[in-house]
Amino acid sequence: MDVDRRKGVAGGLLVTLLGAATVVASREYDIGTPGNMGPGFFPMILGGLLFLFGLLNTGVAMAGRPAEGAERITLGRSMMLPLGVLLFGLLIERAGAVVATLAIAGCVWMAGYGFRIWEILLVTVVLVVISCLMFIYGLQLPTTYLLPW
Amino acid sequence: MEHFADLMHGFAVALQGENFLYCWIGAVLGTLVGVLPGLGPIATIAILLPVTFKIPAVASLIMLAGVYYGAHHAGSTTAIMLNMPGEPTSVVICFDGYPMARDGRAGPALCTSAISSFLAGCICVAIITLFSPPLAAAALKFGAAEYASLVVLALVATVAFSIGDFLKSSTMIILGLLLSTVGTDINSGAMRFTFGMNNVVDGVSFIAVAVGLFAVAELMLQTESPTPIRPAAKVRGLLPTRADLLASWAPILRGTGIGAIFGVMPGTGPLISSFASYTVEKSLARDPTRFGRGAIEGVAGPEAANNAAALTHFIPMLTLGIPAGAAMALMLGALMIHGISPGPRVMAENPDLFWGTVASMWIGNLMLLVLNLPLIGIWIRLLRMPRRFLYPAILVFCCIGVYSVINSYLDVLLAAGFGVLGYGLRGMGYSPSPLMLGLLLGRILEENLRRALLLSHGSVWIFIERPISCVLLVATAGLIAYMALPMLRRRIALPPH
Repeated sequence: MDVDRRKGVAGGLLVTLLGAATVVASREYDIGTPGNMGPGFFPMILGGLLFLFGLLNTGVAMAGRPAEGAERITLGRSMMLPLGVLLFGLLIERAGAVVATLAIAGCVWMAGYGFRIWEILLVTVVLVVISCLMFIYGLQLPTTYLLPW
Repeated sequence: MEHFADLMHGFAVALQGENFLYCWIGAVLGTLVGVLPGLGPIATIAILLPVTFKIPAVASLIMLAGVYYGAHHAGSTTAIMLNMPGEPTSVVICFDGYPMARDGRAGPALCTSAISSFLAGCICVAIITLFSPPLAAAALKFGAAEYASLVVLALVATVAFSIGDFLKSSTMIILGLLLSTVGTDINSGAMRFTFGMNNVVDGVSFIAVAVGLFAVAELMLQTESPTPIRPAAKVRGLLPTRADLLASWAPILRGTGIGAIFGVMPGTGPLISSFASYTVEKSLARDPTRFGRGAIEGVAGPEAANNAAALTHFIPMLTLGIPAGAAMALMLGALMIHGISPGPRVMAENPDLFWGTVASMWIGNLMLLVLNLPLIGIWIRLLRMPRRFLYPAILVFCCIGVYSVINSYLDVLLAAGFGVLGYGLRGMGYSPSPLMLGLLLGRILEENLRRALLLSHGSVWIFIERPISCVLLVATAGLIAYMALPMLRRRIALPPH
């Protein structure tokens, strides 16, 4: 199987699995009747539909229709960007806005766009200043948010 | 005609100091993101949403609207000057705009595109003024059954008209609907799919989802492609010749018509409109071979269609509360956060909001006309800004925006997760826009579906018995048939790039 087809099949199976999981998870909630639906009714229907469309997608990909509009993705340096966001989220309340902002700058630097030393310093300082101003004046959070220790 | 008095009231609202300022900010920001590839209007609106919580609803909608049409307006600048579409919608402008610039006619191309946009904007503000009130009046009669059917029609239309695989678009819509069920169930108070995360009790933050899918994922996709630095064309002389103007006026009017119609329909919007207009102009031309080599009609028509669609795209959101695209879905979310329940009542109960926004579109388009042309040099220089400066800044703004909604770090983690998910989905050919639409419409659909079936004691006949609902469902069935019969499925031929 070529790459395109493999991608299509993998995507379809993933959706099918998600649909099945949703149907199973919806059974935790009260289903009710059509005239008086419980919280589980709508998700249950959607899970079923997702399961169905997952199978259809898998079938179409197996039949070899090329994936329209699929873009090239890799597990390489592009992952540094969500990693930066993730670190920001993990650090913002534990280590403060300054450290969290530094984490993003560091991750983009690691993604390798060819920083020079003075550029790193400049960009980082400007960003930290902007983000501190946004936290204190924009969000009106106490200054302990910047550097909690 | 009575509604033109309302429109005048709208002008009074939009010209108030604060609103005027936000209109200006929106238009400039829109131009900026329209020029910068990689940051589109949807991502910008998502990042700006938290800011709008702090300003009045009218001003925030005016600003977000400015970002939206400003971006569509400005995308063509880089298309003409650098053969680089700032927005996907201006891909078509590259076909003839860049050849014109290479021939030393960048000035006339830019000027024609600005004039086309502005004329289309004027006509579309009039169209919105004429057609929105009757539409809202009709929608006032809608009950739960009609609303549920309308949402279904909108979702199916999104699938039917969007570019790309309709199986995948449907899958994305269902996924979006499913995401909307996360959180507290309004009727029973039960917690659904929260998995113990307290940030999703009131539902998944659509801002986190939008930032992840449209900002983070987009930047990730761009890391794979090296920054193309193309030589910018020189601008010599701005004014189009008499012949240019004579050749342009008919394409502008046709483009406006095409854009106005496509803009209202869910799923189509500016992108398809500009392609459709290009195809029409090419087929009407006496000498179609000129197209692709600098035909001014190929700039004027699509540019008018693009801007027209960007404006009429607002009609379903403002009058029915049903967004026709992902950007509109986000604006709908902004209104809901301001405590305004979007729908046909907005026009009567909140005339400042409705007419102020419509009037601001005209003012904003005028600003763009005045602002864009003299500042082209600055936009081009901004475009050359290396990514290593741009990316950290965009990511920091994204994170702060997502965090600030309810000051939850979990939302930031969610945005990171949706970034990876969006990246993976794009890699498999799934588009994130239908997901966004499903997420914002899911609650409306579920609520109305449940209410309608409660009234009918569980009988689905209620959707057929009520005439308006029946018509909407017949239209839905028609669309499904149109998709299921590929022989009937006429595609707009995409010209070779």
